[in-house]
Amino acid sequence: MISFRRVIKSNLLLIRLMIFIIIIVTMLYLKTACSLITILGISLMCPILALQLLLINHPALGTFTLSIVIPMLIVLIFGRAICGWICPLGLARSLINSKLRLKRLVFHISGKAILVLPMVSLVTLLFVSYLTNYPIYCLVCPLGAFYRVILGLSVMSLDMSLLLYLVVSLFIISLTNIWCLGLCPHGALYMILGRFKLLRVVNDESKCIHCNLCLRTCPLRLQIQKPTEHEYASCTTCLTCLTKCPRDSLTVKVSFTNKMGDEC
Amino acid sequence: MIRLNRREFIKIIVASVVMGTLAKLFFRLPKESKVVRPPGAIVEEEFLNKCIRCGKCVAACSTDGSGTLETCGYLDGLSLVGTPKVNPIKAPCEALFGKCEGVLPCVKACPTKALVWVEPHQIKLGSVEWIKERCIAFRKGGCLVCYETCPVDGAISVKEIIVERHGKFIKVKVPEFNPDVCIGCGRCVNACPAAPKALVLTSKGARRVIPRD
Repeated sequence: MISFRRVIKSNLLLIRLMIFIIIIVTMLYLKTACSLITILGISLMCPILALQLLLINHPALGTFTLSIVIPMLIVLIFGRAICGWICPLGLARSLINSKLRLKRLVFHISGKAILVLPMVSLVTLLFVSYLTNYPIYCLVCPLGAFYRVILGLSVMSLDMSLLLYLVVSLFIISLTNIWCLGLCPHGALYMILGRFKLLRVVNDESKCIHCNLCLRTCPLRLQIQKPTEHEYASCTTCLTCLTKCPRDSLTVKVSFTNKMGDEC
Repeated sequence: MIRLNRREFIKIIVASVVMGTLAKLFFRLPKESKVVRPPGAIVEEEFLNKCIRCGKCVAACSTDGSGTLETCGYLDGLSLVGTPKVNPIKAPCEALFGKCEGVLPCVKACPTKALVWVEPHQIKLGSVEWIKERCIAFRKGGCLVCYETCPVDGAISVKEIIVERHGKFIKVKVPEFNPDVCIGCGRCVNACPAAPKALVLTSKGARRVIPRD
């Protein structure tokens, strides 16, 4: 029997690359920007845009109620796993970092700051949109730039300023951990909504040799060995630590709490 | 589950207030459109408020890969990013005298009524500006491609002017543009053989729809 850990350990990068290509091909086929994707008659809307529209009392919001509820439900179950496995910038970042081995500017953030920083970012963004009465974050959203570049490719007209913005923001995202950890409002929202997510990386204390390799390889520099509740909420379940652990003490569990279950 | 103590809460509030006031001070929505909007676009201020930048109109325009619509980038202005614009260099707008007449896929694709249905004879996207120095008809003579491709009667007419060439005064036939009749479809811009193009499609004189509600 093929073990999940062996598959992940040898093919993590390949799996990421495949998901990345699948996302790009799907977006090329769907021909849409980030804010509204219609799949099987159900429209899905970017939750950050939805929140901003809610605040500015957009007249067409009523027709999108379902499109707001469904992404929220997905987020409630998976939490920040979306950042690690579906966000194209997160995937691109991990691909860039594993291939180019750039020297990264790393911020060590721990304790309550892990919660406070994203909250500041999200609350500020929502407040600014409320004051200006305009979905203002969508103008500078790097994810939006990515989808607009893909949309431009699919309709054969690529805007160079969008592409330049995307490349620059992708490099900033790749070279530091601060964007994904504390500044990205998508991540902040998923973190707040997904505190009781189902998929969690948990550490088996009896096997752990405290080598700190999981901390050093974590793209967000989260202390996953003995994590607090905030660090669990911030974990993107990208499984990089799982592949690097020399004693296989980290495992993925389906559970509501951060305690190691009795059954394993 | 989210616990914040008072100091952190105050930090969040202060940061938001400062950022919000700064944004409120410096952020202005343009009153008039800088780019040419697709047919059926409501007045610019309302349009920017209603458009959610989903790109559905852009995708609907280019079902076979050759539509005129594309999304605005950062060079068009920060507050316009992601909204649709007409790029006549890529393809002309077919909303009048074309395959989209009476169909308007871009309007039908819009989920927020930022683009609303208009009767074909009411469509006016803008007008064309003539840059004399680039025009082949003015510089060398002979070219009247814009006049030949224009589908609207009276939008482009031919007139003879006398210019000085190498010390001699000669007659050349040049196009004359009537911005009141022009519907701004961009066929002439698309067809103009000069490089760079002697014609520019602008939003000047565009007829925007006033929303009913």
